[in-house]
Amino acid sequence: MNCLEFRRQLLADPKLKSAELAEHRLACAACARFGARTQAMEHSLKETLQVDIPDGLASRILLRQRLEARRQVFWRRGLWAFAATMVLSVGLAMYFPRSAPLSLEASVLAHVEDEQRHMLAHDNVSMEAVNQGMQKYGARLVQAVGTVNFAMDCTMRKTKGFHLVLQGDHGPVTVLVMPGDYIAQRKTVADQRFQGVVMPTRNGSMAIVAENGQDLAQMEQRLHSALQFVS
Amino acid sequence: MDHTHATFEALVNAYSADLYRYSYWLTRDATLAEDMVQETFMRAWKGLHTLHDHKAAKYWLITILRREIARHYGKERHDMVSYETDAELDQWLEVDNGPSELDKWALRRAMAEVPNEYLEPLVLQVVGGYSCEEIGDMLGVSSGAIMTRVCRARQKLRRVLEGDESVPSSKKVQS
Repeated sequence: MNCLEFRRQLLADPKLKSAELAEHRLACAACARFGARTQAMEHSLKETLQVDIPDGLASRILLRQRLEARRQVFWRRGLWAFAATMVLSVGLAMYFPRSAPLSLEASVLAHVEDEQRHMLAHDNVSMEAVNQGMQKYGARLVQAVGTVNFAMDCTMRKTKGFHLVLQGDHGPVTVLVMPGDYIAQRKTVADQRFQGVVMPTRNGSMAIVAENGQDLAQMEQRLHSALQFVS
Repeated sequence: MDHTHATFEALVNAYSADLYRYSYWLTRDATLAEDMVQETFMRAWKGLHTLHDHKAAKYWLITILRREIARHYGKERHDMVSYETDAELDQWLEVDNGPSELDKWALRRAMAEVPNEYLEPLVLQVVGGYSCEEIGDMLGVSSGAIMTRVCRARQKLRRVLEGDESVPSSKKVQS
């Protein structure tokens, strides 16, 4: 082994140990010195290359990974949920064809049907209380309409309205005040059990419904003069 | 914590320091170096299922990091050429210089003179503890070429540290 080879090998890997290297080191003082300095430099080199690690490097990496993992889970679950919702919606839409919205007449009958328990009430509500309740719906009694058995806010087809049950000559008469739900002209409504009218008012519509067989004309007449609407 | 998270945490604890140092010497910029390491571990997290042999983890991470740095700089920086010819360095190799002060500061400054092409395998060898063969695998060159490069890197460092003033003729060297 000559000096050049010795030095090349040593510089390629200062940790390298071989009989040939050892032999040359013994034989050549210059290369022995070269070897010693190489070792010294290697030590410094290692120290220099081992630059300080920024504080908290590992925790920052782990934090980012946890956030990423959470994001991945969110998307994975989110996508599944989205896909499931889509499948379900499409399925339901196919299974239950969209029903047409209820007409005002039909909704009036359905409402009376659904809330028929109010027809059994005997609250005997004062005219003042009725007016207080109806105020926000733009309606007011200017004269008495007889006994009021029930008076309460109610959720109608489109908006909130006022539900009254009056004592008619032959049984309870339901009056629905429906501001915001407009109708072009007076219409009669009827099904197997109830009959009545839906009529336009200044701020929407009003319905008068009673059980079949009752004469509603009189009640309609009475309300016509007693009930006033503001627009 | 499930198995994947535990594996990942173990990788971070075991290798983030070495990867950072490697990254630092290739970028010479502490902030960028950390960014590159962060990106590397993010890619590693996403691709952890592709790592079947955990003994190869460090190697795998370094490969990702190299790609990340290459992507950051574009192609050209990684193909940097040395600014000294091998013949010039060989001439220096034949010199027996006097004792030198190997001070860290000087060494760091000297490091700036070493082209990345030489420095990279040097860092892998000294910091990573890899053999020339393993480094050759990683960088896609022969182990012989790696030996030459790390040798050049050390020559270059010594030359910068010890100065050029006493460049003797090759006659001093025994044959």
